[in-house]
Amino acid sequence: MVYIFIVAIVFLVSFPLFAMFFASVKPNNEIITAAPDFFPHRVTLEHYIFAFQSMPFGTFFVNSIIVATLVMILSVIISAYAAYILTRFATKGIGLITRLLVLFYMVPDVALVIGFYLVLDRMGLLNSYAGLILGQSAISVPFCVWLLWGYFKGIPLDLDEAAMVDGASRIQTLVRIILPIAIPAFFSTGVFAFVQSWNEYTLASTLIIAEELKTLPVGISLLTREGAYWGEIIAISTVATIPAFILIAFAMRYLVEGLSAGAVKR
Amino acid sequence: MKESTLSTILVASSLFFLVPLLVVPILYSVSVSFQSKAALSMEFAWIGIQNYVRIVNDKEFWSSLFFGAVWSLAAVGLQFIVGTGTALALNEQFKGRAYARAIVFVPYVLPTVVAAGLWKWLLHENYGLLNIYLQTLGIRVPSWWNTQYAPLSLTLVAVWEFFPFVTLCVLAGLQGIPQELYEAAKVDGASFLRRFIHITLPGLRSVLFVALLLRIIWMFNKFDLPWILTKGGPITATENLPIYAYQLTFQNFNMGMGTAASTIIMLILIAMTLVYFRVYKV
Repeated sequence: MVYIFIVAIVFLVSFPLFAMFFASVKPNNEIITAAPDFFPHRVTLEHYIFAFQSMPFGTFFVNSIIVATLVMILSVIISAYAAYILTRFATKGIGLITRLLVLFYMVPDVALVIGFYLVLDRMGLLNSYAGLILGQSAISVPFCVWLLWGYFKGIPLDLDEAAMVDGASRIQTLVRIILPIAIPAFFSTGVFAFVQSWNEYTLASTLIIAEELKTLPVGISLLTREGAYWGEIIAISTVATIPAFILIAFAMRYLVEGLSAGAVKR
Repeated sequence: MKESTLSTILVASSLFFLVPLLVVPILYSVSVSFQSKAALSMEFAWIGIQNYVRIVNDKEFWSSLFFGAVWSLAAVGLQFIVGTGTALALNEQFKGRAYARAIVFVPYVLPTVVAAGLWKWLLHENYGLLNIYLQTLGIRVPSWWNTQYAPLSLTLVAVWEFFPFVTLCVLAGLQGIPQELYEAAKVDGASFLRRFIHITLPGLRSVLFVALLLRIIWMFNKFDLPWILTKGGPITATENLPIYAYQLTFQNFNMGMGTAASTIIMLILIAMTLVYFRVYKV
């Protein structure tokens, strides 16, 4: 019974994905037709080749990689720092801070976009990597803090104390004992931040206007608007999903571990 | 220095980045909502709550609010049904489980543009693959993206793309339910349904609480998915509040009203969250 359900779900999920992949290697006359088949009759790489030549597609790809990587690094550093402090140094404001963090979650990206647009314009950072990276980090940091906070909470304080009783300073405790334990959590949080930035559309489309700086999602939607080059759109989309696929393969283990480690400590 | 002063300083420093990143844009945008600011001109005038009054009197605001609310609730409901079911299934042992677990999460990590473009193509009235297949099964529709069916298609894509988040949360939560409870229940002869209602659901309570809240917030706030798929159209058939605010700001260049609209969105969500916390306590 369970098996049937799983097969159904896997099918419903895979069908569109494989359809997209197969379409990306179909010649145009097999895509733009009233009677398309699932499998290609003739396999061609023309869409990939054309896409690479027609628009600054490679540039979009590189831009996305740069932005996403920097967002990932920035987000993990900021949220790890904040989460560590929040769990290791109790102060009166803690409850308020955690509640504020949840509040930040409710900010719609539209509001953030408008706010960022106005502020960055004042600062002259519109249309730049820096502005976009700041914006996307702002979006991912609250959730990263929440993830890491849960994880750090699960690392018992006795560990710190035991190390310090044995004569280690706070810094040494942090580096030698806590950090190694936290690596899986950093990994899963970093993956989350990277993927979220890679996929991000709203900020990227509003804050960046110069074509050579645009990221991949924006590039794809530009092509989709022109409406004509379905084959190329599908080819680029397939390529755009590759990082996500790779990251999923690596992060699968760590993701579930990371989430439950913080939640359950019996 | 004292440990407590050190604590305060450290906590404050950790927020040193958070605050400018998040608070400044939001506060600035709220302040603009009380001005009559057009485009990016430096001139502005304080006009109090006039922007808000204009919005409340705008029919499009209410229709966007209505659509956004209905759509997010419907989408989240389905996401939960599909997501929880998948998580339960993935928790069982079976051959190929690792593959199933991996592929089920793919829709969630796809860029929204890709998911949108993919489904727009699949349901294209002329050469959409899925559309053709459905037609051979007898399901004929003039267009999946017209005024009548666009909301439905939009919901479908939203469920397909985001149910894995629920699956992830529930799967993680299931790890925390002790197996002994199930065993004891099975010994007592409890059926699957009873075990689900009396052991699984209570055990998942805190996870479901957070996941539900997050998904509702995120769906209500969703801009990119409906925008890329339908731009809120045809006409206003799939326009939700974020799109409404965006259009005011970047198409009508009415910064004042646009920021007012997004502030209203935030207020609605805050109010909703407070109510949510209250209800869940019961």
